[in-house]
Amino acid sequence: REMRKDLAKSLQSPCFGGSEPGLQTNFFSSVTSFSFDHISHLVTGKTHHLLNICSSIDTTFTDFPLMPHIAGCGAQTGGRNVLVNRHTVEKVTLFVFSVVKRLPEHIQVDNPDVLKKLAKKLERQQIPLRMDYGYKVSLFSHLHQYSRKAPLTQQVSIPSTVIHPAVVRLGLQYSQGIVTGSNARSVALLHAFKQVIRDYTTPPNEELSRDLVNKLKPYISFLNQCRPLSASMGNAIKYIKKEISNIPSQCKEEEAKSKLLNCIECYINEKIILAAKAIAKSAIEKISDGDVILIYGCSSLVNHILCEAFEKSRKFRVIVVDSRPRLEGREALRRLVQKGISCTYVLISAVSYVLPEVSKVFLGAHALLANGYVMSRVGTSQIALVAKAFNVPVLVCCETYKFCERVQTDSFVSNELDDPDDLIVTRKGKTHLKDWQEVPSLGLLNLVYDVTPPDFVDLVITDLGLGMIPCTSVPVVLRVKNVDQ
Amino acid sequence: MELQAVLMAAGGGSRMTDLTYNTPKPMLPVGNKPLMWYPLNLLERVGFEEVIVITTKEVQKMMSTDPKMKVDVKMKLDVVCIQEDGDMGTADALRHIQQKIKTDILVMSCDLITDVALHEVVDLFRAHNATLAMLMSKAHEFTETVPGQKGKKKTAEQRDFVGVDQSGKRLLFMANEADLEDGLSVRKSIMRKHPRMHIKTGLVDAHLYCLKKAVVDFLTENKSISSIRGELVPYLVRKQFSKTTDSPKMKDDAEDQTQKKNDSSTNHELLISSRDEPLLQLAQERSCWNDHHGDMSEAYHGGKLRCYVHIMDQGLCYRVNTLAAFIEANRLAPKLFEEPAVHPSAVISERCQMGSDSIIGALCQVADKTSIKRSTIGNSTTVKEKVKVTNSIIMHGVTIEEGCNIQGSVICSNAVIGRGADLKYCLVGNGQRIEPEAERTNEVIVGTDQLMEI
Repeated sequence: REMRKDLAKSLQSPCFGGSEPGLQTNFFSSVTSFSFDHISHLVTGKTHHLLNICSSIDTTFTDFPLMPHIAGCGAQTGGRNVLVNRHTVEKVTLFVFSVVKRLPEHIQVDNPDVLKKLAKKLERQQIPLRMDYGYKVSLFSHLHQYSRKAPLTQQVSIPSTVIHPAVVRLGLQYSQGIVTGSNARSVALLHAFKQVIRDYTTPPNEELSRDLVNKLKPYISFLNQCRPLSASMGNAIKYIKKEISNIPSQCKEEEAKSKLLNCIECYINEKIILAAKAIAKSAIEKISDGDVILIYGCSSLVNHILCEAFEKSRKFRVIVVDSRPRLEGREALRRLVQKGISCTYVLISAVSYVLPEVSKVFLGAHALLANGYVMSRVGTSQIALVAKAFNVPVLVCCETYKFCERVQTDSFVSNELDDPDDLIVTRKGKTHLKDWQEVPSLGLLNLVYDVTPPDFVDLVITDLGLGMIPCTSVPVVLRVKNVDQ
Repeated sequence: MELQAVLMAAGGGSRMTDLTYNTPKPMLPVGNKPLMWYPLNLLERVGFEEVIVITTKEVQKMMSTDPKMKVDVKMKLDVVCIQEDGDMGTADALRHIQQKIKTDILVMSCDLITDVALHEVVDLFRAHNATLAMLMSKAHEFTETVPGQKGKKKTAEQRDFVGVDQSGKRLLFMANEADLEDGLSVRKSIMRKHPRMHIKTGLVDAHLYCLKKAVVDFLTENKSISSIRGELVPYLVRKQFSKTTDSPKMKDDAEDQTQKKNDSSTNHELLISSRDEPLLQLAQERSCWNDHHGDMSEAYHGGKLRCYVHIMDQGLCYRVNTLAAFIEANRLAPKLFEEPAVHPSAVISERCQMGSDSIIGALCQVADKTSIKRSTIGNSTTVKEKVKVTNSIIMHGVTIEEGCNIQGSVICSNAVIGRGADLKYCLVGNGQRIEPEAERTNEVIVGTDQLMEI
């Protein structure tokens, strides 16, 4: 239905004509950004022959001069461009039957129409709407900013009946920061979904494959309101939804449920536990005796690698770099020191002083984007930049389930704004920023993520294939993954 | 289902026998509503649809006839009756209804009047997967003069010592002054794990507990625990730090090693793990969060049993279990709700002076030239001419003849105050008659049958 609506809109408003001599192109496309997943009809001028072309037409990322609006549309350009052989085809009329991917609503917060639509959708799903808090810096006013002191559970009934209690608990743990870290959030999410599936009963005259997916949608909206979903969570949800829809209709409920629970177990086992083992194995080859390794923040994967390496009797020492306001490095430091690894702890302001002694930098990632950019905790790109300046190799460790098809070149367009009150600190009894909201020209910005360009990353260690790939091969991995599925 | 609500309404009101010898405590009128209406209203506002009410047959009968309860309470009330005279403690009552309990419970006492945001307590219970979450409030001084008190304030009640950690949420220590013979001792293991502990004494326990279902199952095994507040809560708080059998014992705890052996055998019963425990463990391992910093232990020090407390510093929180609290509650409780001060069915003559902070109940009749200030008048009460009522609580069905002057007093139901009587700071019991022209100050006037109880 969505596709038809958009197509109707786009057929009425052709954007522009062709600009190449000898090749007349008529493009019908809608003005919002979208990606082509499907180009189904190509009409050649000569024969008026409808050629059925599916998405295998190309996969190269070339600039397409006839579609400037795609490049200018900011973040969400993904996807496939069409390579046309100019010598054989005279006139190309492309009807774009595409799945129109809208800009996700969580980066359009300053658009009142989008907000209204969101409010309506949440009302329909009976999920409360969480209000934004405080003044937002204008560059980031298109993102949500919530306060930890106003949890969503204020508006949820006790006991929660609309939302499964496991999901309420999970949302609370996300918004309070008890479950942080890409892997932990995904595992906790799948755990909650296991409870939901266990407690689920198919209503009469409904099919499990359809109804369960519909049941999960309000839960996902709720979790999104508590804290924006991460890329890994998004991939996990996609996987579950696919598995649920693939349940044959003649399958009995008990059997279907146990099958789904099994799938979830397998997913976690393969993509998280075994992947960590595989990555550790590849990464340990890169760690030699006498190394000084620099890590940033607390990445569960990097900690795992270092602990494994230490157990395999590699001699190295670690420098843990930390930054406010999260100060996650303290937790990483605790875990490494508990194992017996000798560590140094510095804040990020000292990174250029400490880098001359460093031989390698290991970084964790929140997600790897399709154009090779690494999305990670804010401060990572800083470290990668300084490391590049000192010619220190930067290795990013990331499981394949965190690879996502998004494309982003800067940290502004899609990010997460954390509670600005986290930046308020009391030193010697004085809290200077206590009344920051009353100062009209002051805004507090607490960013969570940033993107690192692939030029600063030397190697990505992952669990697919040989293990070590350059940053620019991420789309290949994505393609291989899609083919597998 | 997430939580089941249990309301304990079988208490006798042993600290205000003057009021309760005729009316059971849950049905005492506060602001013209029965006392148990307040916790039920709180539960209803928050979203509960069913409540299990543990009470006596007498209260159940009164509940079914009381108009307020029938009309205003829309939840389904599952009333369980227990023996009135039995020595059933609150924990015994929970054991009694063990069959009905299918999930975690929220236990409330019928004498709690509060406007707390309940999600604060329940969020602690949910987010940290706690075994116990409770509510406490800073105690307020009662400023009103209490009838029957002879001058000096009575001796301070036994204090409660409550130890919380730095964040003010985790409950580390709880003891009553009565149990501490020669001083407060804190175990070294607790000090090692939580080096900064705040010990507070001026807190009122609101008797609102969120308990895991495993605790109720544990109670059925251990029949020796009879009171939630007195025994179960301190036990759970202590259990947070007790060691399992295979961890090394400390030198300083040599004297209670035998007790520890007994403790550890019952430890495993409280820690019933969920079916996906390894997944939860994995999520916790991978998460880079810790509830404390500065030592080498993981989140929660690896402890599975956790007790949390939410301490309210603003807002209303009263436990109506003494006369002073009852009077204070009558003063403040009506402010919680947006109801008209004068009930529409009351007949008030125009020449009556009524203060804005007074409440008149249904079917009252107030005659001319009366002055009612800062008082609560119950249903079906008749106030004749030239009566001055200040700062008092008049319950239902009372008749006040002309020319009376009532100040700072509590007049219970169905009493009759004779003409021209002058009562200051008195408590007139149920059904009592005060003769005309009587002058009483600071007295408790009750029937002879009451005098027999000791």
